Amino acid sequence: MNNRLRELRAVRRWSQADLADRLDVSRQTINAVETGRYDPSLPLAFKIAELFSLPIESLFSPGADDTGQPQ
Amino acid sequence: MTTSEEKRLSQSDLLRRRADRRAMALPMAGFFAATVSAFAFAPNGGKSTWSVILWLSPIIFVLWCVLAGVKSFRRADEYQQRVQLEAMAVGFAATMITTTVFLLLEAAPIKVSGVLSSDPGGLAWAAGYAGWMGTIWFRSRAAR
Repeated sequence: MNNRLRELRAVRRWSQADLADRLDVSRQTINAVETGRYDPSLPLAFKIAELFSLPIESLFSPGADDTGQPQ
Repeated sequence: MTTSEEKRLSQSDLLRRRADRRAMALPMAGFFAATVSAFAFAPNGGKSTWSVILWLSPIIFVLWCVLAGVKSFRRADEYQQRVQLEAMAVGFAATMITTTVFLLLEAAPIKVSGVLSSDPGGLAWAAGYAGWMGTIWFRSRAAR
């Protein structure tokens, strides 16, 4: 899964810790989502979308490996 | 380039860390006190009931630590919980593999010496703990 988290965060000049504070998660989680090592749960994805006032589909898009098949 | 501001802990990290320290302080102190008491007052190799009770008393505090660990797991966010689960799976596998190696060596006519033969339980424990902590370290290295 690809996401625009780093880009949107940079526009607002927030650090990873600032964003983590706003989402009530650890900085480690923000780092993992930004670097694509972790896809957030739906509740967290909706929380991120709400924070940036954007629809969820404009934040996250399927990556090359996402076939939509259960693993 | 990342700055110190970028590297600071989030409020969620700080609150969790404080809560974990508070929850672990008493059981860890109890474990230490019970272990020291066993060494001080129970004869090493003694077979009396009192001696056995003293040597096993730290287990109560280990169980207390486990409860504190479960609560810490519940306080963690979703990514941290996933890292913890993976780390525990690796630690469990390391313990099982080490134990299996000892069982196979015991079954085979191979003489082993040193720590391998004198303390297999301790080595299996150390392998599990190293697997657990090593995985947490490896999985969180990018965020440090």
